[in-house]
Amino acid sequence: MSLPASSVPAANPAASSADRRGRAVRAGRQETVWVVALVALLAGLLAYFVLAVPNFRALGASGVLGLSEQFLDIGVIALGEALVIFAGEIDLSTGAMSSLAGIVMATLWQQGLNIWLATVLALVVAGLGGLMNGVLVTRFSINSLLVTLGTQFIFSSVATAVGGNTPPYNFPKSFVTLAGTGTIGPVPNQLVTFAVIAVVMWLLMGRSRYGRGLVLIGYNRAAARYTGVNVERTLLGAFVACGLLAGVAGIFVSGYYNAARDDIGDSLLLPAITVVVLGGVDIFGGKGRMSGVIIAAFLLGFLTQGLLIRGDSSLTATMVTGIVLVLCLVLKIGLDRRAGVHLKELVQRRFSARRAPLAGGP
Amino acid sequence: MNLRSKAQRKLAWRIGAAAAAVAMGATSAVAAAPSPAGAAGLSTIKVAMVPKLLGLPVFEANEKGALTVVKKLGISFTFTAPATASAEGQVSIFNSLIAQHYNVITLSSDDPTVPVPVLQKAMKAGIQVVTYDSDVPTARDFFIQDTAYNTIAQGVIDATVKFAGPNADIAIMSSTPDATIQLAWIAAMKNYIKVKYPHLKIVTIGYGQSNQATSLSQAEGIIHSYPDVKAILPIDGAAVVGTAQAVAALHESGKIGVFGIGDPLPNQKYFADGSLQGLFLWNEDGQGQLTMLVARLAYEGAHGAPECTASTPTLTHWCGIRPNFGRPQYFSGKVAGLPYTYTVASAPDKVTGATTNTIIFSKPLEFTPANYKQYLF
Repeated sequence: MSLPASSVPAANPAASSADRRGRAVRAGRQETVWVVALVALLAGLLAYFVLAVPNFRALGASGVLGLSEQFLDIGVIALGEALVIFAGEIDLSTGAMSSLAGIVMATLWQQGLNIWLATVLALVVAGLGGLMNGVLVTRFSINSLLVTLGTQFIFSSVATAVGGNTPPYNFPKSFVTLAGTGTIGPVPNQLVTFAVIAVVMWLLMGRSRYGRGLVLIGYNRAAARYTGVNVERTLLGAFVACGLLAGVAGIFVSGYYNAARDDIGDSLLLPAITVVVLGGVDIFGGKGRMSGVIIAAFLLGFLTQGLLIRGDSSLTATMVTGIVLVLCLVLKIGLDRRAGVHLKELVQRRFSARRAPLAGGP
Repeated sequence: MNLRSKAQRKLAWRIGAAAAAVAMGATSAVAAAPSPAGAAGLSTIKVAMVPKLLGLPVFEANEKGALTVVKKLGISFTFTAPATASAEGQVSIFNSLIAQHYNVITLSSDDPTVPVPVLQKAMKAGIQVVTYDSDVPTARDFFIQDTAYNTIAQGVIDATVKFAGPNADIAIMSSTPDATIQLAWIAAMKNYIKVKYPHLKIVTIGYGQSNQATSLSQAEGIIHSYPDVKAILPIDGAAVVGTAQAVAALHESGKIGVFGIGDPLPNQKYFADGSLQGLFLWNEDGQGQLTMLVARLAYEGAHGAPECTASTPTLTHWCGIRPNFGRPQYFSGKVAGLPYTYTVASAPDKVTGATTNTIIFSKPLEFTPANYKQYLF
């Protein structure tokens, strides 16, 4: 079923098309401002820790880079999660998927399979899990929040069933080095892997037709359909990539801890969504920059680790993280308003039903 | 050994204070004979205590105990933990402790394997790692085991016999059939019964799956199916509550004795209404004190102090303990008028449950309707 043409600009009934175009340019400029602000914040944060926290300074460059091993798992999930959120959807199953991927890899290895082959198979499982999410969302038009809330339980219970009471640990050294704690010079292997993925994601979102389509779906699904975007296939791709990257995070975590555990990914989901939002991606889709997400991963990670090294308790670190997130969101709404989107309109946009039904074509 | 005797109970209670006494003895002795580790020269070391999570009364009792001795032991003390029982949360805390150059990390681990790499990294950085309550066997210097399997089993059985007589039928309520520590306790009870009370009969073992409701229905089932049962022994936290509830619900309070292993605070109600006669655990305050003492001794051992031996039972002067010492050592004695005792085992021991480099904390502490109100864990 397609919508009548007159309902397409329903998202912004008052705006003429020229007006909207100008506004889009201004909104794009605000997105750039946000990314620059994040970079400045990250630089300021690192400067503060280096100057004011002797133990942080004592880590040296390689030590500070090494800290990234403790949050890149969240970063990788955030990159995948961002794709889905760009399109106005969400994936709550990424944490459970990370656990499952780690458990699958470890169990296959324990059964005698080569660990790299086991890793590839685990990633295939993760991709299939993402595909399952995508199919349920696109083919059956079920809200992604509900779909992934459900599959989350499936993934984590399968992980528990496969892993048993004592999941495998003590993987081969080559695996722990490459996937976990090894370094190339001062640079952790995980950071290299993350950088490669991040560049691919950045190109995908900033330079490709696919990326533009994804954002457009989030902004106005009906319009996306009319401009020839294959909404279903695009969404499907986002969910598969999201599952796959959650799998990569699961491999990271297993390598880092040198152990698999059926609940190891539980603590990754909410921080990852936090990174995406902090990175400037609108939680309702259609706006944001991948570069912002990449920087936010480091910002949030270094903030938490730096506070812990300063001697703050993990409770304090969590609280500060929450405060930073809220402040950023308030600031961002301020930016949005200056970009010409009036508050009333902003609220309208947030709460109006702007999703066209998925099923059926013209 | 009858733990219900007054003297023994006193002793058991005091064991907790032992570490404090030990500490006092240590510092005063050192003051008398100045040495590299003399009172004036007693370097301050940074010790962190990382329990499984924040907000659990037993771990807070550990902290309270530790706080009473850290000053005397020259310890700058930090108590920190994740807000939920998360192994990953602990790992991130350990990483920050390493960066802050702590001298000793003490922890009750959320997982036996996940923290291994980070704790090995800590040890490589010259940090002593001491686990208590819940071990990481492959990445620590010492483990402080809560109590020996055999002594806690003996405590429970002795109390039961005192209530029900040596010829009674009894039943055990456990958690799951594969729970390691419960299995060890059951085996220890059976061994002790065979030797000491050959006519005491365990008629059945129920499994409450660490779930209060399941424990309740299992215990009710036992009472119905075995009308001659004179006592039920719940040896898991949920089983204690479930069993006491079952006994109360079927109006058997005081007729069927309930003696278990667990902490008194969640069970105050059942002590008060007479459906629970006895619980055994260790003194959590005292365990916190011992943990700090072992932290100091491990640090000393790694930094050149003479090793503790049985003939120089600690604490008349500073000594250290080192991993992989030759033989099991039993430290006991009297310092500042208080008796203390703990066992250091260098090799695995099936009777006590010790693994390598294990320090067994105390004999169990018994909680009765008369004393349960004193303990807030």
